Amino acid sequence: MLTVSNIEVCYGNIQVLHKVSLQVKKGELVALIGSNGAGKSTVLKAISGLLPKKSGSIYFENAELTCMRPHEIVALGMIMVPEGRRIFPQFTVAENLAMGSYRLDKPNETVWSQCLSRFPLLRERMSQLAATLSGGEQQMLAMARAMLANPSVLMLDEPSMGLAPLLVRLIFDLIQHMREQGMTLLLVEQNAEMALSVADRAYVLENGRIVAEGTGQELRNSSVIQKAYLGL
Amino acid sequence: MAFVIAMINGINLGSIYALIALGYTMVYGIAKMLNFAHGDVIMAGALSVVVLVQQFHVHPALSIFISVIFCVALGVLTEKIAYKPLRNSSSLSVLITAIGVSYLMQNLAQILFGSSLRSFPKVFRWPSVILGSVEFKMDRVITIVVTFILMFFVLWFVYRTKIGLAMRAVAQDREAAMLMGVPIDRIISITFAIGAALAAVAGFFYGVAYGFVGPYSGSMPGIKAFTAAVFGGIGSIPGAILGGFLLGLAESMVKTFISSELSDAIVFGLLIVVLLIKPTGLLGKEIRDKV
Repeated sequence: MLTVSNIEVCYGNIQVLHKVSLQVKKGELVALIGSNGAGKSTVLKAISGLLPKKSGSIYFENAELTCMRPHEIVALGMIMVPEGRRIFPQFTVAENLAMGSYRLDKPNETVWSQCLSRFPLLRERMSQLAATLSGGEQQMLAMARAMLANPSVLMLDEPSMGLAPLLVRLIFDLIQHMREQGMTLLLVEQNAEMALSVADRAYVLENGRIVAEGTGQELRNSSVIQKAYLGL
Repeated sequence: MAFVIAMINGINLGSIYALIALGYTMVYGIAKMLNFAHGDVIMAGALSVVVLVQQFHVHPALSIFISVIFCVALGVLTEKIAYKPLRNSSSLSVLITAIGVSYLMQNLAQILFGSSLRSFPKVFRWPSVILGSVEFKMDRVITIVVTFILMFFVLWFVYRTKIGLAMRAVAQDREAAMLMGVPIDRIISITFAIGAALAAVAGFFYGVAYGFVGPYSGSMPGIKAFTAAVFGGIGSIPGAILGGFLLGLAESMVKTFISSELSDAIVFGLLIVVLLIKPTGLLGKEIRDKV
């Protein structure tokens, strides 16, 4: 469904991604793991059109999105929840959610009601400014906002970052639930153990290169990978 | 009596400043740049009315619409040609470019229409309305009514439409807005278009109020409206309107009761005091970085 082949990305003169290739099939949950600075977020930013690619190509179904701009990629149904949540702080919860369905002509009623029943807390805080929510609530809002876009592929960048263990569990339950509903997911995580426990397949990124791939189970059992990259 | 007249003049002037300040503040909020060429769009609007009416004998009421269209094209083209290529450059480069665009517009106007002031056509010939001992000049009344309508339109557009929602989202977090599917280039173009249209209308009423227009006529109202925007809290739309009116009123009051020569010095002095007490402006929000 999503095919990334040999993309290279540079920040100025420094090349940060070297021939990165990965595939996400329909309905799959693929994790991208690696240590700090390995280039995980850069991969997602390159796919979502925020960063230009020096070479390589990205296909979504039959559409080439290598040179598309972010809003055109969103229009295809590929939605990314950026690192650090990036909710709109001066908007109310309701306005943030309205931004989620921005790409649709009108909000999808079923998705909207599903979303509100999944996040009852947000329903209570509809008219509250998003800046006043706690970190965990903001992450919920960011996830709800992305779901209202009714995505066919959802890309999550470090959804567990800075959250208490209980909330991390909650976020991962949600991710697993979305997977069971048939959504296609690409998950970037530093919390490798959690990511591998839910992922169908995973890629390990190091210094801008893919150094290993396999099912979550395979990678978890590989001692080399455990020591070198996962710190398990 | 003198007070009431000073009030009316102040509101008249203030409403013009407010219209211009709206353009400054919206472009600053959404495109994150100070468009110092904005004042010259006012001049372009007023001069185009003069040329249309005097040389092409267009009806003044029609000329204002042509002038709005011309200024919108000018504003949007300036953004596409001069500012868009610098979108990821430092804000200093964009600022200097804007100053360059400002001089370019002034010099072009000078080459095309000469450097002398031209008299602005008498547009409103209706008699004044006299209530009690106060004379309401029709051009003042019309200026105030039209600018109020336009301000309400802008507020409605920004706070009640989907494009307005996108504009406010871009102002807060451009990248996050892009990730929600907001076509950023189009939103920025629309912002410049609205700003330029308001500047054209402001230029028209500025011409009506002062009677003369030349190639450099845009810089003073431009600077004052910019100050009004900062005064109200740059980036804030209600702030620009409030700042515009307060600046216009202060200027008119000082001119009437203290000194017309010193009016600018006193008004700007007041602004410095206000900014010392409240650095973000009257309605400006303090920007706090949240981790």
